[in-house]
Amino acid sequence: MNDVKDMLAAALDRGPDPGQPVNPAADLARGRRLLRRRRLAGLAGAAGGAAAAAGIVTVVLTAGPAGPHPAPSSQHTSRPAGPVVTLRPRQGSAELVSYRGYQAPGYQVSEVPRGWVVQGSNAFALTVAPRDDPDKFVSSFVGKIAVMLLSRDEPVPSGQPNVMVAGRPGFLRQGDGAGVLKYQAASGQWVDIQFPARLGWHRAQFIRFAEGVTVLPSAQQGRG
Amino acid sequence: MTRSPRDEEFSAFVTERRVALLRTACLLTAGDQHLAEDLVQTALARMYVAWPKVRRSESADAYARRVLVNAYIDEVRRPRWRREQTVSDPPDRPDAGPPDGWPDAVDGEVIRAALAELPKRMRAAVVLRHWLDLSVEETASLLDCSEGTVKSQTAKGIARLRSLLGGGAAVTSRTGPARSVLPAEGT
Repeated sequence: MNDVKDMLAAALDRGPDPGQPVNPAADLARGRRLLRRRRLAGLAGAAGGAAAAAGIVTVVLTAGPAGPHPAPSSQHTSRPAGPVVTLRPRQGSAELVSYRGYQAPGYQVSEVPRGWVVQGSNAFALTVAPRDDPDKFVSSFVGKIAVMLLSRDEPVPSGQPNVMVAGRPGFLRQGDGAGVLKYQAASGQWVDIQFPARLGWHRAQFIRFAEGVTVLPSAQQGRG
Repeated sequence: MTRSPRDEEFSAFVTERRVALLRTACLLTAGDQHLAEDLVQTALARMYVAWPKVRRSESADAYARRVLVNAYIDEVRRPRWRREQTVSDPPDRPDAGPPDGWPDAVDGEVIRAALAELPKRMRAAVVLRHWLDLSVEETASLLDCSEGTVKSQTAKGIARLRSLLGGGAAVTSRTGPARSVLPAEGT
């Protein structure tokens, strides 16, 4: 065990020196910024919650044939019987719109965030980015939506799926507004989509985007 | 700007523990110091936000480890953080040489390259178990997997490193003479 530790220590020959001085100012500033953002987001969420409580809840009438007393198009009850309730997207979040632009090899997408386009693809991944994104490098995923098949080095997700994508199991992880959605496509392949925080999306939007993705036979699994 | 008790405590923690976190992050990232710095910055910022919880936790160090590992796992799940490009197959590595030609010493660069060959979670299991000396149970908790997975991933990781470093490779320590790197199989 100790020999392995020595080996790992040797890997740090160019790493930080244990005795080097540390100035915490930059970390403190970053922490304060993040805390401020979280608090602002909390206030915005509370405002949104108040609006929802006031009755601004969209009710989508998808509950089958209307009975003798059709459900209203909006209502104040928090638990409507029958109709599916969908919350409005977060304030400032990117709206999903139908996409008819350039499609890159490997995948097709039917909806993109408004103002975003399919940027391109390599053999292993496709990126969707704002039309004016200065980063045109397809293999760079910073701030973009990246669609790919699950890496060959990564095990197929197991356990209880927490979402369904077009009726098939999926696993969604969210954090700080970003999301990673892994789901089984109609072909049986596992797709891995990674969403940047700047979309401001919630679960329904992640799923809706994924449901618009078609994996083509030319898509390949990467490694790593 | 006035400094709150949170600021004071956080600053003290950063002063004392930042380098250790950065060294762990460097191992998790197989020597990618830029990514390691990103991870530590992310982890520390999250800790500052959660400082009331850190205060209530049994150990700020343990809390920091968890946040760092979570940041690492979040990052490696996003290929945008990968500095390398995805490929259909990894490039061939130079032959380590015949069994009787193993090097007497392995420098840090070679070890980092070997670490980089491990799948990320396997590398994390090795680092958590052997660098941080965490128990199987603690490692399983941090990696959100079973204890059996930790054991198998750690064993495979060590075996893979042994293979990549030439089986009986030795390491040149900055503080001492060359010595055996890895334990024999099954130890």
